[in-house]
Amino acid sequence: MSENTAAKTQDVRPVSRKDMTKWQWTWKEMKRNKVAYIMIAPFFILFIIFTVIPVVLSLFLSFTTFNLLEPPKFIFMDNYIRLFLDDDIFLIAVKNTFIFAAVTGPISYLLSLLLAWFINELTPRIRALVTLVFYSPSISGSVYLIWTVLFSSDQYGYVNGMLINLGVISKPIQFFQDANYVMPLCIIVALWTSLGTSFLSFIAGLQTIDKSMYEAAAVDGIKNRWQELWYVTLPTMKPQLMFGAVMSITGSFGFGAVVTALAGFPSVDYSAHTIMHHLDDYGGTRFEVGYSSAIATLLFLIMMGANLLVKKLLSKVGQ
Amino acid sequence: MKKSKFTKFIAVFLASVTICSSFSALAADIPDNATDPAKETDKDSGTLDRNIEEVKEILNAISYEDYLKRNADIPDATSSFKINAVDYDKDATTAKVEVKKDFEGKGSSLLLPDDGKVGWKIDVPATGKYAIKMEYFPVSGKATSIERMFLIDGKVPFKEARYLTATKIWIDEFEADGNFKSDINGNDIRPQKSEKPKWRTYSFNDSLGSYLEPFKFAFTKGEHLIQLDAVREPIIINSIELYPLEALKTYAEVKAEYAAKGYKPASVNSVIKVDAEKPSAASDRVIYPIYDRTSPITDPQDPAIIKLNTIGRDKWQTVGQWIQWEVDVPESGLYQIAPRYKQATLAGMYVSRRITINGEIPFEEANRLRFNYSDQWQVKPINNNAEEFEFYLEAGKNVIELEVALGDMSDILRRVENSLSNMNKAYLKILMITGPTPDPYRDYNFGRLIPNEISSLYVEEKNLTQVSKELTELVGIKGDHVATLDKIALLLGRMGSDEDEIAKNLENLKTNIGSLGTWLLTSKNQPLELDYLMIQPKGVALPPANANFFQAAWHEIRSFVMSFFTDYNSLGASEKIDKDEIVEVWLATGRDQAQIIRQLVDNDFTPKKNISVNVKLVAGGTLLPATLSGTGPDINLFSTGNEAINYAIRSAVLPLNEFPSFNEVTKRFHPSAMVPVTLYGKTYGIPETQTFSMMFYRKDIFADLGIEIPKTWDDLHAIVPVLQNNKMEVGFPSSLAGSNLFLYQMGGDLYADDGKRINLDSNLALDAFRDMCELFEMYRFPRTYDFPNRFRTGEMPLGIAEYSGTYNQLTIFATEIRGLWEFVPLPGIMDKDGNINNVSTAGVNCSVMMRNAKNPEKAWEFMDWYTSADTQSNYANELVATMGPAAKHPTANREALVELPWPTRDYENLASQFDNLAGIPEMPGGYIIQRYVDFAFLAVYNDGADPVESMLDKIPEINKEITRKRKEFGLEVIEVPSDVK
Repeated sequence: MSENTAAKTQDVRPVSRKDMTKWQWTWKEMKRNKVAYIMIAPFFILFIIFTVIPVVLSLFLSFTTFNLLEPPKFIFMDNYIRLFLDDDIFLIAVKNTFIFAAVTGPISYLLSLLLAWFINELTPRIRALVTLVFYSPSISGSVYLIWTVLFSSDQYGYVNGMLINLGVISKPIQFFQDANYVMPLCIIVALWTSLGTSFLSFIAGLQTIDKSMYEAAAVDGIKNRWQELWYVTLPTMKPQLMFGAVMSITGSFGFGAVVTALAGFPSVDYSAHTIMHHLDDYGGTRFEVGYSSAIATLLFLIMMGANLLVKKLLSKVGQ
Repeated sequence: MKKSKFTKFIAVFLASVTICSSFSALAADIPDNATDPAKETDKDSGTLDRNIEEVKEILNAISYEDYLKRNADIPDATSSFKINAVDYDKDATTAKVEVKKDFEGKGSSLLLPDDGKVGWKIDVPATGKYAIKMEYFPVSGKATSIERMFLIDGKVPFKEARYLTATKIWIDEFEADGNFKSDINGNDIRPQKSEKPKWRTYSFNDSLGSYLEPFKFAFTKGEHLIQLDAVREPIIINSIELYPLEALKTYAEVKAEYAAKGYKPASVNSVIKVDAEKPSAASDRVIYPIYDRTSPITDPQDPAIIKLNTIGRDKWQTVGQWIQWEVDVPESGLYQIAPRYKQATLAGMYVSRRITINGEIPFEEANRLRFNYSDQWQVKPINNNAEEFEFYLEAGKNVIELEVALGDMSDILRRVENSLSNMNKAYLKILMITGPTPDPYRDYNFGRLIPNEISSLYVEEKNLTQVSKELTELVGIKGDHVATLDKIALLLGRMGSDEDEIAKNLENLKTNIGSLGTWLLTSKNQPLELDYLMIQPKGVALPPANANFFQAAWHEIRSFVMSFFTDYNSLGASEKIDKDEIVEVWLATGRDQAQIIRQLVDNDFTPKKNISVNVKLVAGGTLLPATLSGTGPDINLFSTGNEAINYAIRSAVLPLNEFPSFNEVTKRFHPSAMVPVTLYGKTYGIPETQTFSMMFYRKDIFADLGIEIPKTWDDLHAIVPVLQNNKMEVGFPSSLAGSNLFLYQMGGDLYADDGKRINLDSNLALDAFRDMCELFEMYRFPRTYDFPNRFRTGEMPLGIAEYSGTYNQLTIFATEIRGLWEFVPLPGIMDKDGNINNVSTAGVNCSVMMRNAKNPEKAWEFMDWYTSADTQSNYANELVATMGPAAKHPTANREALVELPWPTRDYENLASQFDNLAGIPEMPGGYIIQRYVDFAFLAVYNDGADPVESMLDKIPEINKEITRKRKEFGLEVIEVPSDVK
């Protein structure tokens, strides 16, 4: 039997997969496809230099104490121990981050999806226009700063001015300096800017769906638009859904810049202090890069976990 | 140990300060010590005596227009008479004058210092209105013009006589062959400017150009006393002449005269071209040659290297600035003067100039030359839009001078200015009734409360409409420039005719007052760029103004290609520098700053010390990564104190104490400046700038309400209700900045135990914090506000703000309140003996030397040179020259401050606060304080928490962080009690 096979392979190909170790096989395949590898090389080299190495380096630094100006010292798990056992602010940051992620992540995701679905029904010309309208907050860079004007703490801020005029309040509310308002406001702003890349990819995904699928589905007994959405539309655009999910998770966990721009750094009583802020605080203000690397590592793990979870959830789509 | 020494020092210092202040108050009337140089250091008086009466007097002075009306029945003088400056009246003179015998070919002259009054007794032969001119010789000094106040019989006759401004004379230092110096690559280097005083005549006139003619002063027959009170800069005067002002001849008359005398146009060969960028003299240091690369035929031009080829633009736009060219004329005759010029700033408008030839204004129209708008270069004979003028020039040397004047606009602008000030007054009155956010549905009864102001709104509407009409006629088209006026007139009309509209439109009025101020400012700016002057007889063809398409295209292509081969980094380098020997200096502020420092280095430091320096402009935030990768500079400029200490505790910068001249260098600064850059006896930075808060107030509002300028916090508390009753507010720094102010005035310190823990839980600090919170709780001070804006509108007539930025901003953008505000030293805390402690907390920027400095000794030489009084004052003056009056540099060098172009009165205020400063030390972990004090303050402000409790709550957190940070650096710590979470 084995002799037979060996003879056969010798006939067809000089070497077979089974004769080689996994590495040898990979190497051979790489050589065979070397043109493809050469073509991907520029990106890959850059990716390794600017993404992989820093991530690995950060992982390494999280076990050291490093102040950017002097060489790092290895301290093993001390950073993580301190992070979990001796850092109240970190716990606040984790809490805030999860609130942000839990509220803005899913809402913005569903919002993107629904809006994309609605907009898809429009005629192409109007669709392009409406898409631009919804997408503009996220392409216009720091446009969210308009909210600092609206909710300025000055008595001439729009909202304060209006409320004072109406006689509701007599002294201006420090919207972004009052722990009661910071978090809700930041969440609203986050939602406003969240119709970003995922929204676009959904629209693109909806466009790719073959019309005949709906016809086939109708023949198969789809009764209403909801069923159509659930059984046809969504399963077909799973890759876009996945992409959108990853974007909105990284977006909502990495939320921070907007809060800093609106509420200052740190926000009052750490009321909107996220993990990103905590990371900035240690990496920037305090020059404790080792510690902030530990925070970054944790954030990375949390995001990975969330992504896995979402993947699981998405696999249920259409079932 | 160190801290207690410091407090002792402060205590002794303050004691001496207050003692001195009581003496100097006594001595204020003895004018002779006014110019005593010792005064600068002795006059440590904490607070200056600014009396509201004095302020009122200045404000209520009448304008020249009213002065003329009031003296309408006095005839114009018919004869002139002259007095020699040296015959001054000793009794009426308070300045330390000096007689200069046989001075510069004019006989005995009198030197007037930059402080005090000088008086002359005159015997007026006949009652009449006289114009006054003096022959003066500017003395080299600061980069500012000479300013004097003119008094007749001890009184300023009208407002404008307070600001008599005589210009200085600046020349460029060219190479021997008359060309510009160039660097190793052939780029022109901007020539150094130096003062070249010459005798000049100054007719007393309006420094703002609102009146084209010189002032006429009314004198009755008999003896009078005239005085000049110094505001800025010394001056030498030879004589003062009172003369009858005669109307100038019109051009038509002059032309007829020329014809009568048989003057003919010069022959066609006498064509002279004068390079405008090489003037023989100019009035300001800022008027220097610049380069234009927009046109290929600008002369000279090069696609690759920088050729200085034009002059003016925004450097030559303020009334009174002049440029002079000396012209060699081959033959006597009539000439036209045709400049190649560009006026691309005032769209749809024209800019004005006044031409004088050999010191004479040839005819009336020469006062109002026009240069019309175009985005292209233009070549046109000098004209007033109606006629192109011819001038008679004698063969030989002639001096042609072009001066910025407002021409036909002067009258219009003056009227708009009047309207603005009336609108301002009306606005303030309304504001005092309604507050900044009036209720549109309430009947405020304005007609009964402030009838005059309401009718003035109506009057101003008529005025502005009239102005807008005239302006349209003048310019020929109705541009958006005019539309601004119409818009405001419309609003005024509505508010003036219907009382109900007032409250509704108050906000609108405020913004419009602001835009009218800006309108005035932009209209007064008269920028003009000149390439060359053609002096040629009428009829000779003018050179083309712009390049044709092919020339332009070829030029652009060449510049584009050459841009790949130009080494922009070595601009201005005069020699090849050996890489290892140079001291590398980084700064992240701005291009102009870098260029000025580079110039100073090239012209002063390198020749003197034979050390090469490479000044590099880097992007902000580059220092950290550069240091990390070992490619950092030797010296970094403009680091914050915080940065210096942060780098120091991580041993990235070098301590400087060991350098030989260290002790001399530190003596240049107020001791407070060294505090933030020193940690445990080691100094890591040399201060460059020092900024602190001062008190800004609106003179007009204080005078109007009849309240005194507060000298203590109790005074302030007393006037707050008055202000608030009139719907006005006070600006005060909240949180840590505010409580630090109180803490340091009480004699406290932010840290205890040598920085091992925070001192905010001491009784003193808690008092300070509570006092600060009280202002916001009890008096409802606003926490968030835009100070310059509210100050400008008068809602916040009093505020404590950082001095340099606020001052700069207000001078430039709040033009409508020019002269209506000033800054004074802070209020203080009075102790039992009546001494006032009014220290202000100061922050510094400093230069630091990095650990990797290749040549620490040479680097230190640079730091020593750079922070010296000479260099600092040169730098500051250059900065103002390059970037305008809004770029006043808050130098930390006490000696250099004297040399800076501050108006004398402001300087006095500034100097007196400068001697009362406290520095806040920077300690490891210091960043945490601001944060938690903010939290504590916001708890009080937002939720009405108890200040003391809320502060005490945060103390353990702060101490914990400080301790943790100190452990990281192996510093001594105090163990935090274990019950702290």
